Amino acid sequence: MEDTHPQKSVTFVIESRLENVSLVGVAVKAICESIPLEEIISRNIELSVVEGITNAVKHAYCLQQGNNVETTVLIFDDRITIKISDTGKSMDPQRCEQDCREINFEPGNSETLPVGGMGLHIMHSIMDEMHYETASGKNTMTLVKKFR
Amino acid sequence: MQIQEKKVGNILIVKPSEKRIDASVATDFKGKMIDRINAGNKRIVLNLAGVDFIDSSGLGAIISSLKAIGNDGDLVICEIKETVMTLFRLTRMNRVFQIISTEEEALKALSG
Repeated sequence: MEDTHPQKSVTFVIESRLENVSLVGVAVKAICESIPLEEIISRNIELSVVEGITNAVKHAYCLQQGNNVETTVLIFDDRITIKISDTGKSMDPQRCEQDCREINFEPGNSETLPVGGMGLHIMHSIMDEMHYETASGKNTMTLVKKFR
Repeated sequence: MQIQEKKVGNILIVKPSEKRIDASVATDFKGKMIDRINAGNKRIVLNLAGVDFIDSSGLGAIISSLKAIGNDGDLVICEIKETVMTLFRLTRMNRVFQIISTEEEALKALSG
């Protein structure tokens, strides 16, 4: 969907520390509200971005500090696109697809409740499109939310 | 991560002081909850009035607390904001937790 030129764009780069993730999250939420998108939609996009960057810090870089996570926000006439990139360990595409699906548990049985692995499902549920690719050692998660 | 807490009878009310429960504080939050559960607090009201944002790591810490309580007690959530409620709906955790409007009603639910 990147055939047209974005109206506006901005890139944030943070060091791979969990403490830094919210800095990008709150910035993306403020950008969404300025478009303007509704607060609940803006907050959900913030949640997706936080999940994506946290995944990069936790899983691509295994919580190792000193690496960069780059987040580019592109605003088009009809959508917002967010690209989250790292140069760490790539996600397994099969695992990625599996985790995007429904979270399976029995509500009445606490032993079956998940305590992790919900991030991709949350992102997939909130966004209209979600792609993951690795090229030249760079992993990029692309998230798209269309304007209604 | 800072929390406020008070005991009403045998019910512990926990109120996180942070506006965000995300991956940077989830482990600390979970540790504080598990410490209190291991100390015998099996009926807990989690008052989320001051919390604007929870991510999947924060949610995982709350689920871990419920699992640690087991079948001998319960964890009830109250005063949750709509923006945070969305996360519970997306993950279907609104079917797992009792989510109640006010702290007073949450206390009643656990007293019964």
